[in-house]
Amino acid sequence: MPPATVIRPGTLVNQAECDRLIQALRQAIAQGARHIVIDCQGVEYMNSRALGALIETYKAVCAQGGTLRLAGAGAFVLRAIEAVGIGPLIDVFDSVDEALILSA
Amino acid sequence: MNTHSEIARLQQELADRKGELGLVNEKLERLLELKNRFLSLASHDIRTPISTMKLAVEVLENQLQDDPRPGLDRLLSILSRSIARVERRIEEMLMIARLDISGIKLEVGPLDLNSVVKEAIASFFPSAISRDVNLDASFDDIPPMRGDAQRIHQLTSVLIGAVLEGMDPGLRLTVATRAESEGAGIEVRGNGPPLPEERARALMAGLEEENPSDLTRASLYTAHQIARRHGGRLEIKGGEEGPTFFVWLPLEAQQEKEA
Repeated sequence: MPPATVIRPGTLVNQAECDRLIQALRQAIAQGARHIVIDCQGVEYMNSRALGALIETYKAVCAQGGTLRLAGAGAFVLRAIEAVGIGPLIDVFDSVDEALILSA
Repeated sequence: MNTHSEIARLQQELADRKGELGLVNEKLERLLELKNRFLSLASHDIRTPISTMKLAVEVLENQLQDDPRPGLDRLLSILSRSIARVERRIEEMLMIARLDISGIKLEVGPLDLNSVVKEAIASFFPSAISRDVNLDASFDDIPPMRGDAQRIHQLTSVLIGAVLEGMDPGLRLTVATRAESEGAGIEVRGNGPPLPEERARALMAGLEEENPSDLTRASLYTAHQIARRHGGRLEIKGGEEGPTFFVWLPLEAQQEKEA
């Protein structure tokens, strides 16, 4: 299995930070990343556009037989991914190390 | 039996009946509140797996584009339409639950305003994503408060729902909590469509109407009642940039009586 691409968003994923996250996700997909880990450690809020981007990324990696994983997600991120329906479809880990070990 | 004692007996009977009716009414209010809380919880609980099913169907549809399977397309299409139908019903159930204002007394307890507001926002993510509206938020450090967390969740949901309802794709809805003098505020703002000042004033005036004429007014009346019962207030501002709803709440709910 090829190594995973790790993406680290900021604490509040609104506007500019959301644009940055979307760009990083698109770039990873464009570069052929099949396994993406999002390091959610310290993320306190993620807006609807960022969540929509996670859904699109999930669909894109699924189409390539890859995975989307979340690491270190706090209560809000867990609640948000559950609300939009992606929660049960992706793997959630306590830390990035754990997510990477399991994808190695 | 003389007339006086007969009147006294009837008065006592009337008082007894009034007491009984009061008890029955209280019980009905409680049952109505339980029913609406169940409706709200059930709707949320059903919506979550429905969202997952919708997403799973989309992934399968994508995969079938590359690898067509006769008959499977049709089944997925039926599944997709059925999910959309259930989603619409759930939205209606949630809307009804948000209008509930039964249960006169607040259940006051420790209130973590930011957590309650975040929870309300999360429940709107599916609608925001499907409408392509950007749901942003910011949170001040709010001191410990006391209030009815479930009612504040309901109030916040009403305001987000009212703003989101009229928004076009690409617009932005911002929810913010604010540390205010002797209290805290929740601001819900949309950057469109414009809300004329006159319409904003009419909505403000409508907050006092006990039998609002439309769904928006009914839901805002509910929000207003919840704010008032906490000893707070709701303000509606119009403008070219869109509507702004602001709720001020005291740090300690003052349990104002029903209007």
